[in-house]
Amino acid sequence: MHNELSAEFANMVLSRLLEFFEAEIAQSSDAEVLEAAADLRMNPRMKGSAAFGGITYPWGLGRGQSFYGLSAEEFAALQRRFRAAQDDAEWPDLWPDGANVSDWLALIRQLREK
Amino acid sequence: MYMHTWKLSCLEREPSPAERALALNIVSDLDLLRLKAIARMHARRLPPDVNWSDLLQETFARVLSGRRRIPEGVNRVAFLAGVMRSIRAELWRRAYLEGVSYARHLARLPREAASPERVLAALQELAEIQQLFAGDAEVLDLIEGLGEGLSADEIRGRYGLSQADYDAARKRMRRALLRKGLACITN
Repeated sequence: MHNELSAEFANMVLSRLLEFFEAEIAQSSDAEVLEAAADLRMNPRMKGSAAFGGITYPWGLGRGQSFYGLSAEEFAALQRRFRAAQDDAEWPDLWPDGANVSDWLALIRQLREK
Repeated sequence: MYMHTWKLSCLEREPSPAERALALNIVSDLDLLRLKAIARMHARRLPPDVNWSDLLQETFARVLSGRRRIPEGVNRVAFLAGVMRSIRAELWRRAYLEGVSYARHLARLPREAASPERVLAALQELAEIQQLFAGDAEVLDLIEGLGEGLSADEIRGRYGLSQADYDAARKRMRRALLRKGLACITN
């Protein structure tokens, strides 16, 4: 009985907070969204910005998915190599797009040749 | 239920439902980021094998297919967040029918959340919220008041916050929530 009440109370508090947070995010201004992204060194106005991971390109590989024949683990290793190969090692754009596809393919070819 | 399958070769990449909604001006690019932050808030409350990105894409797939119509004059992000909530409930119903119990999902949570599962899972999430705002006493006061179901006036009265303090705390809270929702890696 006590556990049921505690569970109900904890879930009620959590639901209230999440509902409020959801409304706050929905009402946030464009400037606030851009500021939050800038805190993370993201610029949503740039093509292929990491901010759009999971929206306009995949967030990560799902179970059983592959990328050019690479498993999720191999792809994670590829992402690390790709990050290291970039001039700005902190730049989080880790998915291929029209601008960097040739770099990705070159890296995959290198890995396959090893 | 439709679930978007990403084509991983960028050369033959099919636009995701969210991308198509953006192209059709159903939402703005920054609305997509707001919705991403909201979808990620729901991430821990999704059935196994469904992630926040699936939830977001499914929301747009329903809008694009005409199953959900966005009413005129409403806040689109708030409306789509409501669609997300209803999809989440539907996913749980479906998961239950397919024999995936919530208990099995909770069993995958860290050991601290194992027993009694429901209470601890919620408490763990509440602790994460607390941690997100650690160091900001006014935001923590605000959260405590909200958790108790107090109104804005009651919160200001109880914690001695001026209207300006209250608004500033809400602004800091929004920024932290957005930051958490957009981060590449979350703790």
